[in-house]
Amino acid sequence: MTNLNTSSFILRYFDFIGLGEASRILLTVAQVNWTEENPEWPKEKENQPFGRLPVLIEKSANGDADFVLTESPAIERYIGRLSGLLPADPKQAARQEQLREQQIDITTCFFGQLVKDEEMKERATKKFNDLLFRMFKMHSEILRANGNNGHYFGNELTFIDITSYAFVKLFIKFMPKHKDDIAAIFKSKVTPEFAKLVSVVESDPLLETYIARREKLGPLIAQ
Amino acid sequence: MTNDTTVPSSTSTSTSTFVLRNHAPPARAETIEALFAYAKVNWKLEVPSWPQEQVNQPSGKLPVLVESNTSGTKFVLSETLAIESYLAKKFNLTVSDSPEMVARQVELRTQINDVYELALMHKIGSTEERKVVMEKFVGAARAIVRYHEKVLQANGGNGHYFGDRVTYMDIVVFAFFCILNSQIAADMPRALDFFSEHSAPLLNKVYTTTAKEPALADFVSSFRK
Repeated sequence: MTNLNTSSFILRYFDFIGLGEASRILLTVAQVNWTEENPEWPKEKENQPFGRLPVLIEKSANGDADFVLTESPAIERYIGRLSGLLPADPKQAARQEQLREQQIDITTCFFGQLVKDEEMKERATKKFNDLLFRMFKMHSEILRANGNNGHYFGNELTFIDITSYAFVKLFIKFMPKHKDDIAAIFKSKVTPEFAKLVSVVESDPLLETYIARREKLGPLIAQ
Repeated sequence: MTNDTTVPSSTSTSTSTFVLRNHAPPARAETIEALFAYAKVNWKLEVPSWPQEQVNQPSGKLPVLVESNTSGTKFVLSETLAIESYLAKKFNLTVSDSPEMVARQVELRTQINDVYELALMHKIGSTEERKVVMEKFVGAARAIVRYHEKVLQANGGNGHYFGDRVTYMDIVVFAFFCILNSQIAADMPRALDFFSEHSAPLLNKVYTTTAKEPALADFVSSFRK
């Protein structure tokens, strides 16, 4: 059984934003004792439980066996549940998981565009553009319905606020390195509601040190 | 890795009714349908005209779940995995409330999703795409079998992922084998090799054990030719 105060966590991932950033920020907001390992790759691939990253390792102070978890959606939700950032109410949790799944879908489509096969690339690009349009529209409506206070629900940080921030970060900082038109796509799609979310998340005192060590996204969105 | 043996009763006392909006058969949201069948709840399939009704869906995609409670209030949810997690909890099919076990379920389910997505890509892909996708499918299938057989062994190889009763992951794998043995095999016969009784004995045991559940008899027969 986890005790957030006595457990410590290791997040194993590559030294880039990718699929690990949401977990990094969730661990930080959860205020748990955590560190990051960046395994040598592909040398360490077969030493991972499922041959891929990220991996979360939870070490208990009372001598229980480590709890080792793979798959970024499982890791994110685990940290979300432990910390209360993911609501306990099943419908509220389902809603936040739904919204996060939409962003994960888009991320998967993005990676699908990086293949050599032109037909596969075209199919992934079409799906990427369609899902992106729908996601920005739907999520902006939700943010607006919550008073455009920078939160999807209520007035405090929750799971989807953090994972959405990480998604925007992936878009602005990671994707353009792999595809030339991404910056222009983002600029055409991002909404004032998302800009507000970014600003509010970056201003949260729990992320002060984390954000201070990294480039803020706010000015990049305003450009 | 240990498997929690505190498995709650799977009897659903849900008074809600459910509509599953999805494309017409042969498209199936098989895990969701299997969850409904096992929980013996009142549900119906709605097939929206497509693409005319796309704009009326929450995220422009199917499936969509519409749950109505006795007072008529509706809860609408999209995204397959979010729907499944919600229903699994509602029907008491989550292994336990412990965050560790819930996370383990999400992990295992996410891994199975790899082969679903690759199977779909193979089905709609060009000849060249299919070669690339098949290679990825082989890698994914081997990784899943390796990992899941260990999990199942740790639970005593009794035909269940956790404890000694049917839980969400049992339903997931049961539904996967239904689709594997029908639609996936029709398009990728080689896929069967990786999930055969020889290659994946304990995964097969989950399938055969779960398929014997009386509540799933109609569901099983719906896959027969």
